[in-house]
Amino acid sequence: MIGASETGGVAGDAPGVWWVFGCRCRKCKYVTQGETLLKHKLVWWLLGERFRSWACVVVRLDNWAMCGRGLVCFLCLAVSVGCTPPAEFGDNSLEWYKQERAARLDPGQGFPEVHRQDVSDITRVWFGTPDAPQLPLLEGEDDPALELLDMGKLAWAAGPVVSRNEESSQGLYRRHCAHCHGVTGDGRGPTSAFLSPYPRDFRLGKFKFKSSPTGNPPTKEDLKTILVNGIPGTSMPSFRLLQDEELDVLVDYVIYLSQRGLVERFLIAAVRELDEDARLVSLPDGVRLRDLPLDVQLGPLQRVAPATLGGESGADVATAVDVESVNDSDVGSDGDSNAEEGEADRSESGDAGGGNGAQADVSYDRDKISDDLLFLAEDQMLPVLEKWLGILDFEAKEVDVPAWVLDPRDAAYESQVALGQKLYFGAANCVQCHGETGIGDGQTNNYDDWTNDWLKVEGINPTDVAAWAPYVNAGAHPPRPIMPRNLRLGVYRGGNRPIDIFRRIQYGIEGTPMPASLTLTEEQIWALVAYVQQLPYETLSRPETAKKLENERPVR
Amino acid sequence: MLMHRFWAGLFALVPILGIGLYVIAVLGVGSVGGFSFAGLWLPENANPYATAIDHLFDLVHIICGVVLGVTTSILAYVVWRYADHPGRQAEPAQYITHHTLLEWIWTAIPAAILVFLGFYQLQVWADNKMNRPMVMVEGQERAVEPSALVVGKQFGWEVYYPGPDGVLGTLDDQRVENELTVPVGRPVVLRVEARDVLHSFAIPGLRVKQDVVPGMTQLVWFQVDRPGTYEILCMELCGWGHYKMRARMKAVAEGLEAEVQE
Repeated sequence: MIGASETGGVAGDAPGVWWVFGCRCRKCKYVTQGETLLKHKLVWWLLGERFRSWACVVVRLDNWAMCGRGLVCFLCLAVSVGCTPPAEFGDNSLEWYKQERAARLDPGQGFPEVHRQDVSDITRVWFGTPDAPQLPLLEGEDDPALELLDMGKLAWAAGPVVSRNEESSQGLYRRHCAHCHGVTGDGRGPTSAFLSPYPRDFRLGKFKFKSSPTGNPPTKEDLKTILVNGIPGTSMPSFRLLQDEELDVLVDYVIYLSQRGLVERFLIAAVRELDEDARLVSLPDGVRLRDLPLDVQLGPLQRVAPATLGGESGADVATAVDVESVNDSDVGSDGDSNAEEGEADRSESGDAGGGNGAQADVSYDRDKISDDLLFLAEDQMLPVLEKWLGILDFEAKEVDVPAWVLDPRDAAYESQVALGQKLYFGAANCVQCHGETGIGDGQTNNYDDWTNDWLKVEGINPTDVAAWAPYVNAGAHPPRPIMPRNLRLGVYRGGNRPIDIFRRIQYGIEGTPMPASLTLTEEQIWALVAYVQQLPYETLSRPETAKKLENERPVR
Repeated sequence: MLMHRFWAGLFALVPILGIGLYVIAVLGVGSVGGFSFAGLWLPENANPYATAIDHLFDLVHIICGVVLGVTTSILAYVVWRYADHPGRQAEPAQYITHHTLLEWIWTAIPAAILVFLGFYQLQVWADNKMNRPMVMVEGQERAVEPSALVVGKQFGWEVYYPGPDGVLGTLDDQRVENELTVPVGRPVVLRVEARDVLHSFAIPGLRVKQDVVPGMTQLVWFQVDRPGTYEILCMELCGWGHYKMRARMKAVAEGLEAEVQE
């Protein structure tokens, strides 16, 4: 048995093999049989692959101490608690793979690792970590980004779930959203694979159900409406029982995640445009941005600290703090290393927060880095921010809902429904996708933008599993065609008020093949709304109402 | 020397503590390590139809309490009385096949209790599950019509109100997620359905609980005497999100009008 285990050739490195062949670690000269072998395996399994050479030590210690599983458990607990890494946003590996394919690199070839590190470091210093969100602020506390997002609210939504008071808890996003939408907002949470449709990936910056025209972000009110009502017909539940303030907090955090994801995508796309040997930021070889002092990392950006968690406007405006104190009080993981280096930096140069941040062993051009970061911020980050800022002042155009839309007793109703039907089959061409009977059996081989985003890069046939498997390995969900809505169920994802249906027809549904109606007048749209909304009540939808049997007893 | 009494006492403590826990819990007083027993009970009942349910609940508790008291007392006594001790005369083991009288007793008593409960609760069951509340409409007595449709789904409750035409299942129905509003002080009938899997519509504060299977329509009725907010729960495991399938019921004085405005 020992022989078989030490050659290793037979067993390979496949997990679980040691159950058959015994301990394979080279250091192990221990008897690998019987109870000790079992214990060995247990310890190995608990410690994980990385620490497997420690398994022997632990087992030997355990036997020596004669205190049985207590010590094992204690050590395992200590290891598992001590080694839990601080939460990090995952890289957008799908986007990396997509851009590599788009750059027509050879199969198996990727961009140099250093680019991934750069993008990861830049987004990290701009947007912080899941435990300590930050915003890329070019103008400190006057930055327009702070009009859109409240640092206090972000801090309330971020972090692990910890109870805050009797009614609410810290870490709202991870408590309520992350198991489907993922910590990064990538729609890849643990439950996501079981849901249809898949949870939304916020990182494309596209939102379906909103009152703003196509191409614009939704208003905060739109996002909040989705949270309150859920999305019927999907797995998105209603969060009506949350406090109003908690909903605002989650809306802010979703916008933050969306911005972060989009900026990350833009940075990755920027890597593809780079010349060979060039980097996003001019750094010497072997130097990572995250290893430099924080003030160098920030470059032209400034940071503000959240004054209070979940701060309301007015009372507790975020106060600007200088880089130095951020260094000391920085929350979360990057605090430790940065603070240390910051101190070392100061003691060397003798100039607190100084202009000359070069460390003894590494030389880098501070101004050049700052220029690069400013260029990237203006080029990749500001467009994202400006888009969202544009929506701050947006007010949906007031639309009067005609009285007859849902009222069959109204004199105008019949003719309007007839007009709607004509449009459905004619000018509006709803029939093409939603089908002649409206059950959504028209064109069913379309894909939504979240899928097309990577499907179209190499023109992959969605039914060719081998072709899209590498993308799924890189982090995509297996592609599913987007189904036109069955209009006879009375279940409308964006809401079932007439105004909701009106908006869907008027502006379309972003990210899906449902187009905005550019040619229809408002009157025509309302006629369509009337037609569509009566479909679930037609005899075709409800055969049971078609013919009353004689002597039929009323439903109890 | 006293070791055998120590062990006997320790084991006898289990039934004794059991009785103590029961007494504390029934009285709803006291707390252990900051954990209050008062909060364990159902919220105060606000549904006149369910006072009989609470009465049955108490009755079952009392019967169980008596049985618990008698059996655990005997157990504690036997553990203490027949503890092993030094110098005990070892008696030969006996093979006992049965004891007819004892078997009659422990079969007849529970059976009698169950039969009694079965007949005793018939009217309560009928009032809560079969006889819909009646109202006088134009001089005629009519069963109250459902004022809302509640649809359970993974994971939440959809509430549909009849629109201006007052009829459920028509074009102008109003949908609200996870919030039910009912009037105070008059009988309310709800239609309950399930969209996907088995759910159970429960309002603990009103002692209402009704399982619903997809494809079936169930009616529940109650009357809320106290305005306020009540919790609606799913009380049948229905999937991974079961734990958060909760909704809110508002009992308001002015009726449904305010809700339908939405």
